[in-house]
Amino acid sequence: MTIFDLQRTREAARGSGADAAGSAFARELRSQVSHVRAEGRRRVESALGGRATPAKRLVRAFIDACAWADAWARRGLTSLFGAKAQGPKEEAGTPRPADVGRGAPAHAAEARPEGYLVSRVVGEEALREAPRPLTEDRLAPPEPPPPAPQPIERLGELPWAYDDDAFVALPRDPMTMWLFWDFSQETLAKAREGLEDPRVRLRVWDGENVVRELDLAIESRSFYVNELPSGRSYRGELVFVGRNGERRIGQASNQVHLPPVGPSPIIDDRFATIPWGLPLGPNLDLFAHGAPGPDISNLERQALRSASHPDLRLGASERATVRGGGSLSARLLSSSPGGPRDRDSE
Amino acid sequence: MTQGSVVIQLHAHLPFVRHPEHERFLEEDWLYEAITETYIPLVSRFERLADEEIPFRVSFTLTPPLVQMLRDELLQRRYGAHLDRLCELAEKELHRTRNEPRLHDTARFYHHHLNHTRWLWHERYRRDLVGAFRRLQDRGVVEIVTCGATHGFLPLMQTQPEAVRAQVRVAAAHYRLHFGRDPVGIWLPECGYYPGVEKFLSEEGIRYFFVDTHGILDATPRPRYGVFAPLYTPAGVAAFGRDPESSEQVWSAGTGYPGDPVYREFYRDIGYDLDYDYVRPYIQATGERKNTGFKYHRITGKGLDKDLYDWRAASRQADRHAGNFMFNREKQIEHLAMVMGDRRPVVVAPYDAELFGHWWFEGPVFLEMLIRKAAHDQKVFRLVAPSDYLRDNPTQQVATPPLCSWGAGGYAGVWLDGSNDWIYRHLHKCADLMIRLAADYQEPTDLERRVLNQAARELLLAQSSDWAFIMKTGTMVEYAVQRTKDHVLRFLRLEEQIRSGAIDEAWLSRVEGRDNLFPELDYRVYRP
Repeated sequence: MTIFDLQRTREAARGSGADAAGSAFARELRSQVSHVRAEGRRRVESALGGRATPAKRLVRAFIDACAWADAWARRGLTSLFGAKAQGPKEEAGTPRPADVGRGAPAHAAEARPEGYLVSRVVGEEALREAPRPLTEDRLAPPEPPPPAPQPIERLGELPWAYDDDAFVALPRDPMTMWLFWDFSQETLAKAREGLEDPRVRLRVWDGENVVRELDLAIESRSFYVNELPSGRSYRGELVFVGRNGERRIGQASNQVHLPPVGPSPIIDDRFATIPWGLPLGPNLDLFAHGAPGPDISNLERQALRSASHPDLRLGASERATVRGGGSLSARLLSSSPGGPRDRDSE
Repeated sequence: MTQGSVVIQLHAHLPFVRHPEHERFLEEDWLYEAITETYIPLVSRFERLADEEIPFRVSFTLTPPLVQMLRDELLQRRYGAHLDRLCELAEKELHRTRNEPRLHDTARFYHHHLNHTRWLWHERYRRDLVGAFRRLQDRGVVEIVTCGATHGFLPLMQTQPEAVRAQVRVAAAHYRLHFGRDPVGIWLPECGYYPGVEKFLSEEGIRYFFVDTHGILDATPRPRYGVFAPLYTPAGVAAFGRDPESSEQVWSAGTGYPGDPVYREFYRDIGYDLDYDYVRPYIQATGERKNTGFKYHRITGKGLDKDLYDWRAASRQADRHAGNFMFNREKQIEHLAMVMGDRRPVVVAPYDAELFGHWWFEGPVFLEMLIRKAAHDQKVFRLVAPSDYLRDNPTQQVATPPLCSWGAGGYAGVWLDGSNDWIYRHLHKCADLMIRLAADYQEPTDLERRVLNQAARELLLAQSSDWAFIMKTGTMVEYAVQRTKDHVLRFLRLEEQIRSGAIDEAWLSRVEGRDNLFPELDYRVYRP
């Protein structure tokens, strides 16, 4: 509990706009000081009795000084006398730089006082009874009890293999397919059985044609097949090849379609109209329902493609925003200037 | 009558990071910093514009993990404490800079900004930013679109359609729960599209999604209007393409606005610059330094020598840049409208929401000024949401985009390379097991149902594209690896326990308490 908390509470409670806040808060502070001084004197009276003594006068003077010094330090002389605080002059037409509104101080508070003189002298309870009592509990939800220590969750390590004979193909980019496999020892032994000096070969199929064939180590468990023609569908197959024959290992992979690159050679302008309120039905195929659109010249088509800047490879993936960096630190970005990198800078 | 439309699409996303087992956890700061620097500045500005009855529409993704975290009481409480620490530091900064007028001016600015943010958080929004966004949507100024349930990269799940459907269906259900209506649009995680995914979107009533530029330009058949009109996929869901020109003006390091020398320099932070003992209470609990958000320098130039920041000059520059952005969109749309004849062009400008405020500190000012200027200073275009455009322009060309993403290279290379490919063996296996569990357990007991639902949560969490992304980019890799391992291992243990009939209910309860997103989740979403 601090004076700082008190100030926060006041600021939240004020909420009457920045302009009027200066004088209102000055009145509030005078009231606060008056209360604190009275409380301090009451305690002095209680401790030292009713007789006026030099020591008592000294303590009273000290309490007064503390109360005013605290207020002075926090709000400044100007605020105490009701004048509106002036920040650096803002030019006409200056856009609002940040939030301006309730809760923010009428002007930024001046230097924070060293220590909390008032609360040290008369105690925080006195501040609670002040005209603007401490009410920070109202702002923050009640603190739940600290979490009970939990037993260590011993999850172990990931399995090295699942031995489930998986053989999966995934598309990486228009020219690259990635394959991973997880064959059991039984499957491997069965495929290897009877073959002399078998080696493992990967075959990549495009329909009925083998478009790539190469040796690899079965233990590698994955492989990137590069430089495939784009826009085609492929599947992988692993085989043991021996001097006396060959045998496939498990099943072939799934088929995967690599995306095409560049403008499609197909020009077939079909248009469909879907009123906004009309729900989309299941198994809808607009290609079967579309109608030709009005003619457009190749020149216009090309002009719109050029306007789309197909050459601009600007990667929004450099969403090197909150997630990427350590504690939001922008290690993903070049240090200067401050914007995110573009994709080509990778 | 305007000649065209501009869609400003802001994508707000953070991975689900919540660690109740630690009182302070570094990665939770991602959320806190984004709230302070991006979400509250944006939502408060949108509110102000709406209050002033300035006509505008902005499209805004709030991903399910982000919604879940913003609504989590533990994280809300912790953010309050985080904000208190920032305000305390702001007080100290006033004192520290009292004899240096230029620094002191910026310190006053931060003090003002943070105290106002605290008031907004506690008093105006009552710690519920999701509710604030929902109200903006209900007022018609923001269109909130959903995303994959945990931001899973769908093109790499396509061999398991049940897993893709679960990502979409769980997200749609979550959206209905929090926003009280069906989602009309989706931001496919990482703009990751593959032909066929639209049928899962259609099942949920979703009408549009976004793709990167080449997703439209390389579509089959060839598009007529470039990226300046959406395409209907065969299932009827529309694909909007990113306009590279408007993106470059904001994203590009070389020519983009955020690199202007006047703007605040991100990399100079008192968390690193000042005396250790002074900043010790505001850095990591472990004692390691970190960014505090108090930055006193401007970008200045390419050298290391940085001049002091002047927030007034930076705000004026953001105002000028907003004017420049608007002017360029006017000229762009005038040109396009001339070429496109009777069709009105739409320019789609998508950005990560966190760019505005967090990376580009003056970004929220830019957006506000852009909206004001677009409403009052021009008549060439309207700021619209994608649904507005489709409502007004229901006739579109039919074509199929290729597999694409907005990642480096444009495809799946960011999320599938030597640094992160090891995860897919495990993700594939877990999805396979989950699909079998959903099929095998038709009438589970209550306890079994809890296990099945939690297994689904663990799988979804493991599928988050953020982990692969972080592994690829090389920062915080250890955390991403650990998260992937933890979720996979929890899933495998749950699967093993339910299959063996030896369910550890105490451990299950702890896991439910920790990975507590999607309390409404029903594991049956994995049924074929």
